[in-house]
Amino acid sequence: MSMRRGEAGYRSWVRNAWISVGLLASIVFLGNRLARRHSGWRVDLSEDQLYAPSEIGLGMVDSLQDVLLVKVYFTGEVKLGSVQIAKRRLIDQLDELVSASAGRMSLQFADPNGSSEARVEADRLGIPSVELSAMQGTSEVTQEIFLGMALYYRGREAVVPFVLPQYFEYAFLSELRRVLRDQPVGIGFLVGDGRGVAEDPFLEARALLARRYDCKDVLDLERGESIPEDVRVLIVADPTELHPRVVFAVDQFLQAGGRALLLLDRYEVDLTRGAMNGFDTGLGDLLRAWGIRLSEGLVWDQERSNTISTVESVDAGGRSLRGQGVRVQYPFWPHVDQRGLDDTLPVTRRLPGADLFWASALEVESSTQMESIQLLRTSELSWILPPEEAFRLDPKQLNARGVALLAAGDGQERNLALSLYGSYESPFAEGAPAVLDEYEEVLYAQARAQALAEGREVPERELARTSEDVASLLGETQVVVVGDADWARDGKFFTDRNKMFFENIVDWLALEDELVSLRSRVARERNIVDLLAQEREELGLFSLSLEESDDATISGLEETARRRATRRRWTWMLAATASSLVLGAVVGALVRGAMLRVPGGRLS
Amino acid sequence: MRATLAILRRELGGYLDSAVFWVALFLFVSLLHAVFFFIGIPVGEVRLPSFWAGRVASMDSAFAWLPLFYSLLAPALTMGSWASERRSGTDEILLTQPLRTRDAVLGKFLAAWVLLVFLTAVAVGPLAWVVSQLGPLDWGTVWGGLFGATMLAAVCVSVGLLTSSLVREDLVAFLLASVVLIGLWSLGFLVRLLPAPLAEAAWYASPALHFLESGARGVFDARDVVYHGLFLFAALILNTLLVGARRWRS
Repeated sequence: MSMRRGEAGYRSWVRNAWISVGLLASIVFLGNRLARRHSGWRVDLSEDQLYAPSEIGLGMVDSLQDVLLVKVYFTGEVKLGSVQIAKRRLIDQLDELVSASAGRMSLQFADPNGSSEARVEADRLGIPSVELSAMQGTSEVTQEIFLGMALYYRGREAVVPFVLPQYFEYAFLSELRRVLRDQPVGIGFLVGDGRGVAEDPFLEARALLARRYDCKDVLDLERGESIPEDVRVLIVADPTELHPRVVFAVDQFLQAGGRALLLLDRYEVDLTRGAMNGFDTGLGDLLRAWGIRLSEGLVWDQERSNTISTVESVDAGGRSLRGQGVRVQYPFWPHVDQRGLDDTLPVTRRLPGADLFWASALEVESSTQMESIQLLRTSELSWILPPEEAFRLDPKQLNARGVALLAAGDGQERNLALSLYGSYESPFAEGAPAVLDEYEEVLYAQARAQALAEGREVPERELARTSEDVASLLGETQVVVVGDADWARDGKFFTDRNKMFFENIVDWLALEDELVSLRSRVARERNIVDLLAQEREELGLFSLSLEESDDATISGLEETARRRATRRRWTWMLAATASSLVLGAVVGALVRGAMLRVPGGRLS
Repeated sequence: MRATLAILRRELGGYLDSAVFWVALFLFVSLLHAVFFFIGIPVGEVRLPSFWAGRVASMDSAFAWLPLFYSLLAPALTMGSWASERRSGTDEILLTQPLRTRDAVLGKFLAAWVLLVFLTAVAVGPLAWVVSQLGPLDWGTVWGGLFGATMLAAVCVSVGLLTSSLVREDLVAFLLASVVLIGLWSLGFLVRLLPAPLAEAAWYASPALHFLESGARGVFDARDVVYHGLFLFAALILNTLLVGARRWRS
């Protein structure tokens, strides 16, 4: 009887166990589903704050005064696993913004792969399909993917053509910023001599800004035109022999509160042709009025520079032959890392760095009335060298020059970019320069050419003045001056770091600080100390001059430095591992001892 | 609760008395430090160089190795929890004691979990300190990573206990748990090869990905806490049911 009762109990227990398993599976499934849909709470404990929505983004969405409609053009049935996950993350990110908007942001989904109407709309908006493929099993699967969206707010429209989760926040919020503005912000471009250039070398820079700003050319200033009123920021790129009337127009724009970014070059270096051309920007008077000066010569940064491909020369019995191609540090291409960036301003605080090419230094006079901040600076091991030395590309020559400079020991930190803020006295206070007179211009060009040919000093331009009103010390302005223009030129010089720096400066000058903060959300550089460099420095390897050392001494010291650096690396590793083992053993032994003392503590 | 603590003390004492703890401590610390300093992450979507090669003050590669290490360490710690008791017959003594099955399961789980978390803290703490002496380490990611590792460790230990309750042999329990955990860890690599709906499910099912996508980066995400919590809850309930079934049979 009791046995039968036991069997019945066991059967009942088994039934209950299966019910429990079923319930458990349901709880796990539903719990996770609910959490995914409704529990998007996240805290990012890292200093860089890259994995949680930014306060700025949430604030922008929260401050919407009208309904923002986001039409999402995503491929409905995605075949590729990684794209499906990216799409899911994007939807999660959009949902986070919707939650923060308190009902003022709504999403509307359209599938351009599934609906011809949605496809036509996507085409009209410029949302492209991107062909992506991946291996699934043994076959390759290819699919046209749409991951774009359009924003509609108060009759205005902006488009994010294609986005991935890692770029979503900046891409979405910069377009949102654009639809929130009542008037587009104007950015003026003054390139070269300001009279129009056949081939604009700053097309990529313009294209970057054209996404958010109304970019326009500023021309004919020498003929008496003034800078258009809707230009908030003027970019003076690679100014060359600017006519005084152009400089006057720039000055008056700044006196009226306008802001400017100046990319100044003094020398044009062409390594492929071995040619170097020096020229005057024409902005000398204005720079003097601000209390700064562009250095005569190019910056050589011995410590922080980019590399260049060059060819080694080989000594073959007194004859110099071309050896193999090598990459060497080229100190005329300074690389500004975090040590050379101002860490007080958002425009540079979180930048990964910047790369300059044949830059001039900006010297600040103590009498300047404007507040200046160093945005970019070189290392302390920097010198100003004659521009002809830029053609010194042989690794041995570069090395010898570096050693000689280090031995001289008079290197110092140089300014490569400055921010100037405040009011200043106009250099045209005595009278505005007259507009361009073609005949006078031809005469001056001839006199100048003749002076250069005869090796005489270039004559000063005789300036006719007009009686028009000149604004001076009128209002405060802000100017960013960079001692190089090559860094923003199209092509390989306009690196990702430089693009970010360029966009940051323009957004900052255009008072779009929110975009600066959003763009600056990149992981900061966290480089560890260079143990080998420290050892080299300790052994004085950087301060040996050529006269007092030979190859054997240098290679011997180099070997010692390497050995010491390796020893230090092992010391750190052993310190970590030994500390872990000792800590684990001591705590383990203490806990074991404590357990032995507790009555009944040890049951094993 | 008192019964749970008694089991916890018994199990913890057992670990510290045996060679398991000392071998685990030595191997885990040495191997984790070695891969961090010399290897980095050579496979997967985000490959990382070794510490000396990358020269970046970051613990990313150490945290990225934890799921794989746990896939071996958690089964090693838990393989005998039920299997050896069953083989030696001590489970019958234990289960006839005046304690509930869930207390026994919870006590064994807590002992292995505490030990694994302790080993992690001991291995990661001094390593992070050394890294911080050589460069500007982001301590927020270290605390976030340790918190995420604590949750991941709980899941791995619960899987180890579950498999231990299924078989008689320690080695079989170890192999079974390792295969399950490595399988869950490798789902991250399979995502690219799977069709979209399966890829999304696989991505969500892997405990390692929940750790690598948030905790290891210093992010505390409520969804991951729910995921790990429910996984742990389910594994412990199943464990209780399996052990309870034996109690009925005996």
